[in-house]
Amino acid sequence: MTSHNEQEKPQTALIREQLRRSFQEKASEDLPADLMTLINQLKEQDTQNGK
Amino acid sequence: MENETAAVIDPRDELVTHLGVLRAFALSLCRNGALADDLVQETVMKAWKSIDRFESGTNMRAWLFKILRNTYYTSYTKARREVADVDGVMGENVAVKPDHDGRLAYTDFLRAFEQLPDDQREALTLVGASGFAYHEAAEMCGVATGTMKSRVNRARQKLIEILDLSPDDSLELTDSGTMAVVTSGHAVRRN
Repeated sequence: MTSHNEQEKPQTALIREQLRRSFQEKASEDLPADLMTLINQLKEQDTQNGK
Repeated sequence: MENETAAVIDPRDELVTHLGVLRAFALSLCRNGALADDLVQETVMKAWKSIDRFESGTNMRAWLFKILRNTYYTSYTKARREVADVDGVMGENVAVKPDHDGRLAYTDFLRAFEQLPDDQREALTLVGASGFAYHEAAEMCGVATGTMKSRVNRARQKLIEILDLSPDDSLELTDSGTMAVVTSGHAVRRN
């Protein structure tokens, strides 16, 4: 019983590490230029609208 | 006074700091770079329009993820889903399994992750990768906390099965330092 749980923990840790690595790699990618253009447009609109 | 200063931060500025993780979440849902970028743009526009409804001091990342997720499931799951992974976003370089090189463990993992059902992949992304608590992820997905726990557990079990992870293998990989060394030169799976 106990050994079963002990066996699962390292496997879970491995999966968590791989998940985080995968997610962080994608999150660290350069953002698309279109997206940054959109952000700038939205900010400009807000400025023009006095927000 | 300090609290007042902290509260002055414009939520629009905070929104921009979440774009990277927002895109990563979009990629995990769409598995297609172009669709993910469209999804993020739509999410940003929606969030920006309703930024006044965001409650200062609450979790903006969770708020954004929820908007993105709702947008995905209402507009992106039928017609657009058919073209998922046309550019191999998630399974990059995993088509051919290399023999005992440094990419083996990670590429195996990505391929196994791709085989999970959508709800389990999402659950692992939210809880395992993004760091949300079970109750936060459950709230985002509109399910009970127990359901979210169950999805995460089933997903982990499925990955363990697919990757054929044995206790001996994984024991070496419990800390990130060891993990980095091992994954740079050895396979996770052993024969």
